[in-house]
Amino acid sequence: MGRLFVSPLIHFHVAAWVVLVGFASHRVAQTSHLEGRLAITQMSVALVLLQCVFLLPQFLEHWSIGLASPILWSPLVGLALVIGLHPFLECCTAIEQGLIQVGIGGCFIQLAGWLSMYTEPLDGSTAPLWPMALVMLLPLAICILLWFLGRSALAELHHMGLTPGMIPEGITLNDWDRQRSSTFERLETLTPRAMLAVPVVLVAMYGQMVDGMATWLGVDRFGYSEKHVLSQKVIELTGAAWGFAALKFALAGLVWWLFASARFEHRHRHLRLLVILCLLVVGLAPGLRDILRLTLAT
Amino acid sequence: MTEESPLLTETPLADDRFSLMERAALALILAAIVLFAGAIIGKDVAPGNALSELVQDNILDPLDQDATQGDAGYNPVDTAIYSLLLVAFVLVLSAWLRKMRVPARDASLIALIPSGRPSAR
Repeated sequence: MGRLFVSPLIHFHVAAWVVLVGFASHRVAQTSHLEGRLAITQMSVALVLLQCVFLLPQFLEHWSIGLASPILWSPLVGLALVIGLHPFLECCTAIEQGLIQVGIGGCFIQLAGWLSMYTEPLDGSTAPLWPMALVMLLPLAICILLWFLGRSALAELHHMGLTPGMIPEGITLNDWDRQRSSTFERLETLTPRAMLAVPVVLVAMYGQMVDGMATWLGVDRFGYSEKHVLSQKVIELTGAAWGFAALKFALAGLVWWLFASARFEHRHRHLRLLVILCLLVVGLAPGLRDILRLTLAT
Repeated sequence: MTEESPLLTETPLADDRFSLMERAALALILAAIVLFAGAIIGKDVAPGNALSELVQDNILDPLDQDATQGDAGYNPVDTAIYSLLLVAFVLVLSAWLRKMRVPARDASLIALIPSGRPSAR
């Protein structure tokens, strides 16, 4: 069971949950006789309770449950939030609603373990909170600034019914590159700046910056070491982890450049999202894991 | 823009058709599954064979060490395998989602963020 909670199996484990939630949400929305999305919320509550069955025994091996224990109230708060979010998710598709509700519920279950670990460390003391604040807030400030820079260009493209980086439906990439219509000119001119304000691209950039800063602080200030082969080689080349952080910030810029210059055909609309998801998986997830480990001294 | 035009010389593949690259990615995933199953079976059927040793030393042992002792690290072999499989899964999943006509909204990605929460181990 322990293998399911460490890399790389944790990624397959979480992916299995995502596929289960997506499939179940889709089926429930199609077959349920209940009004609106009530059936999705019911399913989400059931799946969050199932996650409790899997995860809480792991926590109870190390901490006891009591009235003030995060192991008790954190999952309860999560369940309340899952139910409370119901009216606000009508604008989402059934799959999105299921993912948001089960994801948030799962976050609060995990939070129970993190808070228990912070308040009652298993071995050693916990680290101060300033590294977590720095790692999460500095990249956030940068992304907010970028969003302000790009939002007018994005609004102009949306007003024209265009998505930055996406070729209109029915046209191949080769045909798009050959034409010189006004639509082509506007999309090509505005996309680089508009891409600075696309939320999913900003999140991917944010993830890379978080990973870089978390690794830099963890290795250079708190004595951790890097476990990935290529990352370790970069650190060895520069002699310190700040080189890795610099590379990650450059990579964030590269993410922007990649999406600003790449053009996706309409049939590749899912590929575009999955590429961004991969960038999130290899950036934000390890970065948050690293800063959590650092804060919880594990 | 999608009607007859002298500028449009190609027709995009239909959404339910897979391109050559997508089919190659699917073949790679299936081959990986077959080889992995073969390596696991081969541990008993033909102990000491190269494939089983490769999988045991580079994939299974680090997983065991991570789960029991913590922080086994990665090696060039499993890094290359996981990277190739990641790219292959991205291609195959995008083709499958397109064929199933699942909407491709940026909001769907934002909805996935809570599910991507890290494990503290």
